[in-house]
Amino acid sequence: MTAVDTVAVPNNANSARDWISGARTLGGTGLLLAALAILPSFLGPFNIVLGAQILAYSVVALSLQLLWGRAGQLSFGQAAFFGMGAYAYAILGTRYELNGWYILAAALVIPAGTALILGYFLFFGRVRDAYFSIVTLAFVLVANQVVISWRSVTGGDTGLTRVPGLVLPFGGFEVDFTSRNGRYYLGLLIFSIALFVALLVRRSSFGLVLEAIRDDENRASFLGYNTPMYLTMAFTLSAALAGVAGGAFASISTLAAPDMIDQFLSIQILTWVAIGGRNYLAGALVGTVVMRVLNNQVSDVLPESWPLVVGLFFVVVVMFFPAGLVGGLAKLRAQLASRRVEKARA
Amino acid sequence: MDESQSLALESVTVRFGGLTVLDDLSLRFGHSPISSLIGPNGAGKTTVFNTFSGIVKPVSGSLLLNGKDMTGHSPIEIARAGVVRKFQVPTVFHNLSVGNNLKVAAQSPRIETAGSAKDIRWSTGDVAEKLGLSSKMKTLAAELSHGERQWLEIGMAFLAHPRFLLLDEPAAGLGPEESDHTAGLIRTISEFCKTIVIEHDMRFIRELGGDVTVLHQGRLLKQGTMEEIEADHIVRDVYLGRDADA
Amino acid sequence: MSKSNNNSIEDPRESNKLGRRLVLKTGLGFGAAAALAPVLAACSSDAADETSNTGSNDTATSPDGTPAEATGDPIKVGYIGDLTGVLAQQGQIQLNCFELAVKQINESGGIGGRPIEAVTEDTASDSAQAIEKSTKLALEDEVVTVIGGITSSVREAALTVLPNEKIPFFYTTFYEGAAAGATACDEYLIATGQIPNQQVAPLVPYLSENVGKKYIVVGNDYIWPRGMTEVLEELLVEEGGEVVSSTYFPLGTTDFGPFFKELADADADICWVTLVGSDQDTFLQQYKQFGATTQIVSLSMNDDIAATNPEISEGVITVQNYLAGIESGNNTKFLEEYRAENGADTFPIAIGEGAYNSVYLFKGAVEAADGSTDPTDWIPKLSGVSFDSPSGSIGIDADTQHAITNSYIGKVGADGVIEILDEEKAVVPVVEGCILS
Ligand SMILES: Nc1ncnc2c1ncn2[C@@H]1O[C@H](COP(=O)(O)OP(=O)(O)OP(=O)(O)O)[C@@H](O)[C@H]1O
Ligand SMILES: [Mg+2]
Repeated sequence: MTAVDTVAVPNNANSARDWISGARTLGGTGLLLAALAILPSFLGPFNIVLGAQILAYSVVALSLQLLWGRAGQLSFGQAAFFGMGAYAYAILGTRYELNGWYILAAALVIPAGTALILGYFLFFGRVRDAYFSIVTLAFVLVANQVVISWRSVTGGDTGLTRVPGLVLPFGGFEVDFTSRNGRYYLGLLIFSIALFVALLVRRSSFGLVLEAIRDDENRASFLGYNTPMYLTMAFTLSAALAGVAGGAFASISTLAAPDMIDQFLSIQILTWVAIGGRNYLAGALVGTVVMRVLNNQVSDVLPESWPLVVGLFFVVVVMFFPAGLVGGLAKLRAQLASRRVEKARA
Repeated sequence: MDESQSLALESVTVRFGGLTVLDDLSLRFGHSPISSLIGPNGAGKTTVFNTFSGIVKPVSGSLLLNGKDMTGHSPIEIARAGVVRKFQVPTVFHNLSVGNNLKVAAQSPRIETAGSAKDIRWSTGDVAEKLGLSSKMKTLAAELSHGERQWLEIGMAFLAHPRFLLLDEPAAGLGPEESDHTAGLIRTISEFCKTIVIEHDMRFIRELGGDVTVLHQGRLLKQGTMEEIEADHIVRDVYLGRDADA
Repeated sequence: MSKSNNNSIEDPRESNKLGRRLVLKTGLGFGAAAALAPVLAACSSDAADETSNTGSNDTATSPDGTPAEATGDPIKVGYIGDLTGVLAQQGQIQLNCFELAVKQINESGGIGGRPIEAVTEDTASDSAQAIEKSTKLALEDEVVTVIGGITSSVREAALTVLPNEKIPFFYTTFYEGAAAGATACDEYLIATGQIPNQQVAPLVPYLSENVGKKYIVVGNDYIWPRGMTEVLEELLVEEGGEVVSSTYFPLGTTDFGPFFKELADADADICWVTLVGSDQDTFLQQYKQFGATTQIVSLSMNDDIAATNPEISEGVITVQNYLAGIESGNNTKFLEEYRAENGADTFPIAIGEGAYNSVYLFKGAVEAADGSTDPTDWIPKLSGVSFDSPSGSIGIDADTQHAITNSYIGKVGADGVIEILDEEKAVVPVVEGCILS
């Protein structure tokens, strides 16, 4: 076709459509959060705790989606930042009488600062893609070793148990997240914040540039974008989210242990995001919920062979829906829509 | 010549391994809104662009933008200084929509300098309209035709507020009608920034107007108007003879 | 995605398989245990010896003498352990033993007429998973007690959740006791595995008398081996022995060369090995190639490893609270029934016998509490219960809530069978400062 005969759509039509889709996202998010807020009244005590954990895990999945889905860099180090957050929380929480905000801040700043330094050297040193993944894998192995060896501080193999719940002072009064429901709402709180941040990134030009870099980093840099800096920022933000998730998880589970900072958890996080669909924000959430619930249910029914079943499920999903469950749904919807258009034409 | 509007190489030599691709080459663009760079395959045209945009570092010689020495600067710095390019193989962000491709380009960081007078802020919508892509703002770039992709990349380069826009074979692979549309686009763009075009298609170059630089084996063969070039028998021998009737 | 860090057991038979997997996993640690144990002698118990113990594993009979079918409301009992991952083999043996006890009890009248309903959960040696599964057992399944656990980290994870819900946890694996910050004293912890004073204390005097007093130590570099060395050194003060050197290698070590140089210079009587999994196999292999003759004492040796690798295991001395070679009617019966369920060439191991005993001790305590499953009723009754276990008569020490068990010292023969050399009856667990009663 030639372009000459195409009809120009006035520019403001686009922005109106953007506005509508923005409003829809906001409405949908609001509904989701409202539903999650009343959910505990319908759940038994165990599922409330499970729900709180899934919310915290969703945040770390969102953090990987940001880096992998949006910026195209697959990190095996997500559990390292998650674990750093968890240990920061557990160490400060068990040893010192600190204001809850400081503990939470440490769970954010320590992983984020580490990612900033690591990311700076990697991305400005032109380390990308598979090499980046390998370095992050090495990083999580080192982090795990440090945690296991530094017994006096981290509790070694056993980790730190009986970690106190979080209490956040707001002005004159305190919000106590230590009860069972409190732990759930802590999960929901950080989940809401992370979701808000993730949506903001998706709508912002920062997010757009990350996607551009994912597609073709050279192209982006010939447009004048400082791509290593963008990637470093994405890595740092991702680590900050992962760290807060870890801190919240330690508080919810009352535990920080070496398996919260190892390659196996990293790989699990990766499977959640891959199953849901790494290019979709909703994918990270769907994948985490599906995999955690599946994991839980199958391991009950088949205590001896559940990893096999869960593994097979992963393989099947990735084979039939390479874009993940959410990606597969989106494609299906697009196909149905185009069939409808064809029918209307006919 | 007006130094404030020029992009130049001075005695630049570029080698790849043992192969000398640019040989003590001095070139200057900027006197005419549109310039064309022609030459046989392998003459070094793309390498000239690569040197301009900092991708290729010369063994010797220097790169001057508006009289300022930019030799050794990174592609990012050079892009920010206003030298923007379209690649020989169309390079757009395939998994981004047309609208987002344009948006990324429009938001690209620039060094704001006084004197870039024609730096009008174009909206992506206006540019899309000029490109003929308004109805495809939501379409993924990967789903565009080859011609549309060429236009999209030209539009992106233009939205990136260039002082110098380097277009490497913008009409390659296009039909005559598409080719005309492209030439029209480039003429419009050249009202706003200096445009340098590499092309093989002489008809296209004639349509663009502007001055012409002929490169041969990494050396400058001739620089002048189209008429002067066509009149030159050496140029005819090495290059035009082959496809003067194109 | 399983893995394990931690401490806790090592086990035998699977060591080859385990070994390969171990190499893949950095930072794995088992704790330990292996051991041998104190043996005590308890009784010359044989099946004929019907004592008045609650919970003997003989078939219960109703007052009129016929076997009773349990028909009341089921009592839910959780099992939690490492059914997948590096320790899957040991976990499976532990579960098999647990299930055997449940089956026997249900077929003979249950607990005061109520059958046990077992709920099984896998921790995959993962702390987070252990937390999740413990929470599930507590809150969803509403079990009244949980039995199992291998790695220390899983024990700590379970003890983070269960006491809050007032659910007692029977930990059935030998471990490091109160060393290195481990939880060894908790009103909701009942341990049926051994702690260092029960494994090492009976062994050292035996070695002083029969082998020597000069030790050279080689272990993996984590809590359990180091803790065991500490205990050894303390004991040697009284014995007048010494540890001439200790070398610790990271898990997954493939070359123990540096140690052999030490060994050659040391002129030690005993080589004290606290290496686990594939590291122990590798070490024993290299030890043999090196031609060293110093007596090896390994806390990680057991029937399983010995049967799988007799060439390199031959001659190793160990100490465990259960060995398949225990000669008693109870053990013969136990082995028979275990093998009927799980296969002719299988071996129960110490942590499995601990799980088996735990179910019977729980039954005894609940029955003593007039059938109450409220822990505040039955936990105080535990110390009054004794059980004629496959390894002899055992009971629970009131202060520590750890089992008073026998320790068996054994030596691997050329055929891979561990021959019992000595035993010490009823070794009382010692946890400094722990008074729960
Ligand atoms: N990165 C490189 N490494 C080695 N040789 C190169 C490289 N880039 C270009 N060359 C060589 O340099 C010479 C000039 O290449 P260049 O791409 O500049 O030619 P061109 O004039 O653009 O040709 P065309 O009209 O075919 O696009 C060619 O011989 C080419 O093979
Ligand atoms: Mg070229």
